[in-house]
Amino acid sequence: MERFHPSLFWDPLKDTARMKTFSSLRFLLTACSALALTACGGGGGNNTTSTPTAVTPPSPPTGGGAPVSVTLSGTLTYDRVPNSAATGSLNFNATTQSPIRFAPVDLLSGNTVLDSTVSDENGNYAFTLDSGQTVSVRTRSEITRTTGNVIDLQIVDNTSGNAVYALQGAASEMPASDQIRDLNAGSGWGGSSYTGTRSAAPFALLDTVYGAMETLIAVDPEINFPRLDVLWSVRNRPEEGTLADGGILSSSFTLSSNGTPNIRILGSEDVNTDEFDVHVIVHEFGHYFENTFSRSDSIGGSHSIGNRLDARLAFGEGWGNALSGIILEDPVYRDSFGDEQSRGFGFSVERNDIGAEGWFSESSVQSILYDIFDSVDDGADSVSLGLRPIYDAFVSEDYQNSEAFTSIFNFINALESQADVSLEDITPLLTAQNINSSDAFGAGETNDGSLPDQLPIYLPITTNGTAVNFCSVDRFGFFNKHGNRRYLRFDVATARTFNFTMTRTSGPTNGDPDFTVYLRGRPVLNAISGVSDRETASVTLQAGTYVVDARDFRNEIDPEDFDNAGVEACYDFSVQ
Amino acid sequence: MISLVLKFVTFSGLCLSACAAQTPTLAVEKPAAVTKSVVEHATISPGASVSLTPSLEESMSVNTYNRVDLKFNEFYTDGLMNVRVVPGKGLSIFGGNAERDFDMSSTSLHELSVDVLAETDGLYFLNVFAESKGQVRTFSISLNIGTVTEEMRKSAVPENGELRDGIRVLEAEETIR
Repeated sequence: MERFHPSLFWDPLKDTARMKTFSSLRFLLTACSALALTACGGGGGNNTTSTPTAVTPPSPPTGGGAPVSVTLSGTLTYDRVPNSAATGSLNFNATTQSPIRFAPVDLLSGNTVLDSTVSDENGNYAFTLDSGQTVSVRTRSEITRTTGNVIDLQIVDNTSGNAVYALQGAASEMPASDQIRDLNAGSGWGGSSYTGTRSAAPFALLDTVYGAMETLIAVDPEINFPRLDVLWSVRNRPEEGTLADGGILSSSFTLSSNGTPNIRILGSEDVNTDEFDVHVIVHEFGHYFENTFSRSDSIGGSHSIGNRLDARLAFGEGWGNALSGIILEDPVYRDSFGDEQSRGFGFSVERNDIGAEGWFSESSVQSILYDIFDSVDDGADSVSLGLRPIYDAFVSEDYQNSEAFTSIFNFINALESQADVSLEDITPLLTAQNINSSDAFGAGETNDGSLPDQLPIYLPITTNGTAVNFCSVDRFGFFNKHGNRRYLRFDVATARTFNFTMTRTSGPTNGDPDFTVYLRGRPVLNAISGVSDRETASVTLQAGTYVVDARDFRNEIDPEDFDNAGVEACYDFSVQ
Repeated sequence: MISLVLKFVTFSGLCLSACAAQTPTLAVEKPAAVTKSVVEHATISPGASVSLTPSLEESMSVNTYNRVDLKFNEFYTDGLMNVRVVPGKGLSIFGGNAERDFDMSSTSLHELSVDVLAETDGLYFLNVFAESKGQVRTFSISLNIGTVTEEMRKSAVPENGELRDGIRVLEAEETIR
């Protein structure tokens, strides 16, 4: 499709500098040439081959004279492949082009950068240069902003030493007239498989994450975004392995060894590619938000919306799901996979009845958070508060410094402290999900999730050596499932050294008791020896309220891999 | 015997998640080896709550069927889990694709074995799709068949674009006017 572009028609009255070097004859030739190209559909016709071959329109004669100052401009776009609304699969037939926004653009002569700029919100860029130079245009998959809302975001190839991706056009000589070079990052899709370079992927990721940042900027105009690396490669596959080899197991959020937050995204054709699965990306961005601007005590690991989970994990994952619906203005989470990316699955965060409801359910969490946000009333939902109070609760001192673990309980506790939020509005949502406390520690909760031993949520313990008894069970799975771990709570009035003991009282022998003591989310003591049936440790603690995560290590590991894993064992725990 | 190394890695995830936004002062009494130097905690993306443990022959040969045992662990109390095993490029499964439903209310192990064949040396992938309660978890299993060189490993998944001076350069569809 030919498009009229005003810059083809130079207006000498608007550019006196050019008048010094641009003769009337040359202007006339340039204008006529451009007009002919536009009117006749020739010249810069669509060149959509997968190779960076440029089709250059005839240049007006330079007359062998000195170079003239010309403008090279254009628009940067990428292929956006949507999920099928019905199936969640990738719908390549519905591919559209979206602008590559706010990305750095380089003007290159060979490998030398002659000039640099940043694309605008429509993907437009422009350079002024002398005619006769052989140049190419390159943009990179990063957004770096040091003024206004600071952003440090890059999409890199973890299988190539975290090399940033770049989209580069062909080198060609600039004529003695303005020229337009539009660059599109194609999906590489050939109809039934990827037959070309998958250039669109990193730019789709960049745009999705930037869009999420934009939403937060609208809520908090002062927000700045510390560095976030998004790691994507066509070699990223769902297998445990090394990052450099692409063995990332799943799209996920984690921190690198130097503490840099990173989102890892699958790119394995015919298995699982997530670069266009926007809900997956925003879900992981939700974890970046928690870790960067708030606090997360989630222990991570495998989970599903129907599972009964550790409360910390349930909250973090439910938040990620809800945020994807909030930011994308689409409550249906979709994830594509399979041959030709032709299959998919999904769920709606608006649903209120996925699996067992409670504080241990990520689907309960996502339902509550999305209902607080959205303007569509359903079920017990009669509130429409938007994202602001949710954001404010996350970044509040109350939440970030809570003595309790991060969970739906201390989040709701922090939310209720926000302006315009009333307990009367929120309680029906909690009740509908069988959550019966808004105390930060879940005091008074009556839903045990079918494990009576799990109430109260935090087992109180004195520091006089009196033992409390609890059990670690594998009823709902291992590592991060409901019942694997028990929370305990104790107060320290005066700083001193404390001795901790955890001893098996029932269940299979050769137990492996482990525990970790936390102060406001920070681990201050970790006791994980391999001594059978008894774990002891001591540490000096300052005054404060501490919580403990106690468990039998045999419930942290996969019973498919270890013969003695997966148990129901009970323990005495004491502090003195 | 559960190794301390495994405990170390497991704890690292726990530790990281708790202090991702802060630098904690971790007082470790024992074992002394526990530190925060490994931070491989990850929040896995939503999907079916299923894990897979593959068991491979010590060495796999070309032009012969090699057995791959798959053990699945799911975290549901009822319903069916559907498992589909699909060979990647250059690999074939005896009898074609393997597919089976498992009763998730059963306490018995969910096991599936396939025999795979490749005609030339190289790195191949066996892809597995597990679906439970409308959610899916995908897996990919690397299979080194025959004598596998580094070049074969690299060519198993062709490069996307070209690495130039530390930048992965991708082709553009360019229109010049």
